[in-house]
Amino acid sequence: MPELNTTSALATNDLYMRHRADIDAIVARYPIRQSALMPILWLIQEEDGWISDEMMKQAAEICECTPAEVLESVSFYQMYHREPVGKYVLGICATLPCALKAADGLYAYLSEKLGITWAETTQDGLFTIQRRECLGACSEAPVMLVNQELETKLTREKIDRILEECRQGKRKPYFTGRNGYRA
Amino acid sequence: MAATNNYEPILSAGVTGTVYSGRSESLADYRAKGGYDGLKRALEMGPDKVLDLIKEANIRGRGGAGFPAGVKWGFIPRNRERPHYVCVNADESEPGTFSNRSLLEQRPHLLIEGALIAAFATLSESVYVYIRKEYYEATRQMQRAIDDARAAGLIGKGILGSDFNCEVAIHLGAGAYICGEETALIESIEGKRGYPRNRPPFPAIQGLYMSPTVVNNIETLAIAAEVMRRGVEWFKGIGTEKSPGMTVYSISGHVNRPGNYELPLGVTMRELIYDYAGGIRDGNKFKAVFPGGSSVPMLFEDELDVVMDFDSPRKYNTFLGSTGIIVMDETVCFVWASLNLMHFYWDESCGQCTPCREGTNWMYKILKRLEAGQGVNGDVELLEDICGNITSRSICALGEFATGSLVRTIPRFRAEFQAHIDQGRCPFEKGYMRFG
Ligand SMILES: Cc1cc2nc3c(=O)[nH]c(=O)nc-3n(C[C@H](O)[C@H](O)[C@H](O)COP(=O)(O)O)c2cc1C
Ligand code: SF4
Ligand code: FES
Repeated sequence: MPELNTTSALATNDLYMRHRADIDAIVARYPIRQSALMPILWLIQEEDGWISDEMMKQAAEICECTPAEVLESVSFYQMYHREPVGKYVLGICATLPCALKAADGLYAYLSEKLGITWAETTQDGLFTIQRRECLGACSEAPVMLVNQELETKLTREKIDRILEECRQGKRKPYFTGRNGYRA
Repeated sequence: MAATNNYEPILSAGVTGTVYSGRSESLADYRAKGGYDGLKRALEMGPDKVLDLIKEANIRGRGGAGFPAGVKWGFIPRNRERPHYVCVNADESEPGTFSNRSLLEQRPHLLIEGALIAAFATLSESVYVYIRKEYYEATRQMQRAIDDARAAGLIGKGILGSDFNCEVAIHLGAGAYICGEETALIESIEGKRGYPRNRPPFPAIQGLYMSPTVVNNIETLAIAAEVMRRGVEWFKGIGTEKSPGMTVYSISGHVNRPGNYELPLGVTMRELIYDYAGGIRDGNKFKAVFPGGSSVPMLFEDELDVVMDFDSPRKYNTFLGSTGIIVMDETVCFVWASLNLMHFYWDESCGQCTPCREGTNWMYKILKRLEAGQGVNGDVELLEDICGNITSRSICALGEFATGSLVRTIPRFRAEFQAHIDQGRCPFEKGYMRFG
């Protein structure tokens, strides 16, 4: 695996220094450096839950493009977060096949229970509700993603159980977090 | 039952359910069934003969357009002045479509074999599998399969002892419907926003990294692997003359047994809804169906005997599309349904072309006010007018896709649209909103 020839250029890049092996592996998959941008943005988001201006700059440095180009991608792709999110991101599918099976009611139930609307995070930092488009599981409607887990054929009882499991810390959080850094 | 009732699934053989069921075919299981024998045969035949064979099979692209894979591969230059690329389209984001998900999760080796055959035939040594980020389990299974295949000498240098070298890597999306469009997908792999490119130049000449590139849907490639293994005659014995073979239809909405159904091209819509998906729920009456994802015009009751192959739906000005079938019963309000979908297209339009950007914005605004009971006379005609103008001068087909829920619906159900204005409210009860 060729390492980035970066001893001088990236030695002060915290992102690179923290994830050296992963980033070297990503970069090696592509003939140009900018192709590594999306996977590196995912790396950032998996650690922090969102992508800050500082992280965009560090990603730009690694990918040999400008911070403006990174911002273009971060704002274009809907799953990259430009603000901190909760430990559990509830991505409700709102598109027609799910809507035909009460996705609107599912949203209303969750929204009332948690006291938040689309794209908001609860005060305790535990939950964020997001509107997602067709998750490619329409036969199991209504569905939602709880972080990386797809939850299908949802009912009130299922939702109550999922929220409880999150509150008890029985489910994997959305981001791993890093020392001394509050997402 | 239908004429297709003895058909045994090939692509989805052993696949259970729509979402991950805990079993993903291992390399050993796949090889025990003759897996990678198609690749072996391809390596023995050489790239030119493989290309001829795929051309002869007439595998029409399962990603929506139905363009023959062999012809597409044939556009790739037969030299290696620049590296060539194969991009596997597993972005599956068309509302109502979930067949690629099951194949990715449960039969990843079939897809890898197909991609390797495509690479071999088009003189490429590099495959990128573009998977939408939301498909976490599919990504895990695909990555595991790639690692296993590499360990077994099926990916990398000197594949199966030949002089064919090929790398396979996954590239994950980040929630953008437009990245399923082939040139947006290419831009995305290049690390940019998913803005579709103007054509020409076509990807076969200047695609990924300005090099000759093939973009194929994963089901197309899965079929290519089966054809290499079982032969052209076998393939042409299934389906219809002009649409040979099989496909996986995804059925959702108000049917008793929603799910994925692999069948020969040639089954009728009525058979799909009533024989396979078990008919309409609660004994309700059928109202309308999207035959190929939410981006194609709907079919109505008197049109259900249409054969679901690549060409027959055209006589109703609609398309096989993604074979994502969304069934709606009599309780559904078309204004509400169109509004739901227009939000999707409005949100997903990349904004490069004026007709698409402005058109989706206008239609979204009008549908919102109609559904809120605040429409004004002339709104329905205005919608029709926008539908007629959005398709021109656009870089890609998304603008046209946005009109799928309206173009055939307004002329047929004008009264239903107009009633929202006349009554100053939506006349439907919306039982489908009740959440249990
Ligand atoms: C807006 C838009 C979205 C698309 N989404 C997908 C998709 O999710 N999957 C896919 O295979 N093709 C999709 N396509 C079609 C691709 O552009 C392309 O035709 C296809 O991947 C070619 O593969 P095939 O020849 O094997 O069918 C989309 C097209 C458009 C215009
Ligand atoms: S038609 Fe719409 S989605 Fe396609 S390139 Fe133009 S603006 Fe973008
Ligand atoms: S519409 Fe919700 S999964 Fe497809």
